[in-house]
Amino acid sequence: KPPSASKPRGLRCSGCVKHMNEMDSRSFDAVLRSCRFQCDFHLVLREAEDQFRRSQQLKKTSHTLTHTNIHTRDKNRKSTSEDTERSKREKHRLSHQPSDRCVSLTPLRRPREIYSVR
Amino acid sequence: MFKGKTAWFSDSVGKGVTNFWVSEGGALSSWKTADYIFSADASSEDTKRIYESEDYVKNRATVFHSNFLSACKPRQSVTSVPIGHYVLPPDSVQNEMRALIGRFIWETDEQVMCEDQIYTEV
Ligand SMILES: [Zn+2]
Repeated sequence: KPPSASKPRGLRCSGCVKHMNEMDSRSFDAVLRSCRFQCDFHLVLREAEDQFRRSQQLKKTSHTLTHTNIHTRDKNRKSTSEDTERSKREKHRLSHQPSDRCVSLTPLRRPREIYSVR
Repeated sequence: MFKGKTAWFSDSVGKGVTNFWVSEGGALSSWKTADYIFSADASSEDTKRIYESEDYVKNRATVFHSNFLSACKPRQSVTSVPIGHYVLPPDSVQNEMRALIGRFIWETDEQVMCEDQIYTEV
């Protein structure tokens, strides 16, 4: 038994030991997710990839919005879910500044509601 | 070795590796239907297209580094090489992982790199 086997670094998860016949490009992620324990490598991989996927989707959403909804949004200031998300973020960011007069462009939620939503 | 399996290869993968796949009974197909997606460069255009695809967002399109196949070759076996460390994620993910974990297996294994080059020249 090699001495490194007892170190946490040497710990392996199912993503580490499966060979080609047990895992392919389609099932890799499902294999990782089905295993409770994940080694450092696969844990970090999953988290970084999930983050990449989220930013990818966000890019796509904002792209669509700019091209199709810009008219509606400018004229009516409709509160789409995207708008709510954005103003929530804006509010959060600006709330750390002394003045937030400039934020009230859309009907915002009351502070209490914002924080209860998390 | 690869009978009954389908793969897609990015243009960044050397011809030698693709030939090896075919010579061992593997079939080629489009990346949408292939069992295995292989690339040697996450920043090549055809691979970036996969990272931006719906399949990737839905966790159904993991890209593997083609050095995996180079590692299988000297061992003449697919079951002796775990595939799970030959993942080739997008560049930004790679950078994040290098900062936290270190180098990828396909970067560190010089022997595998040599195999790859030798085979490409044949
Ligand atoms: Zn692992």
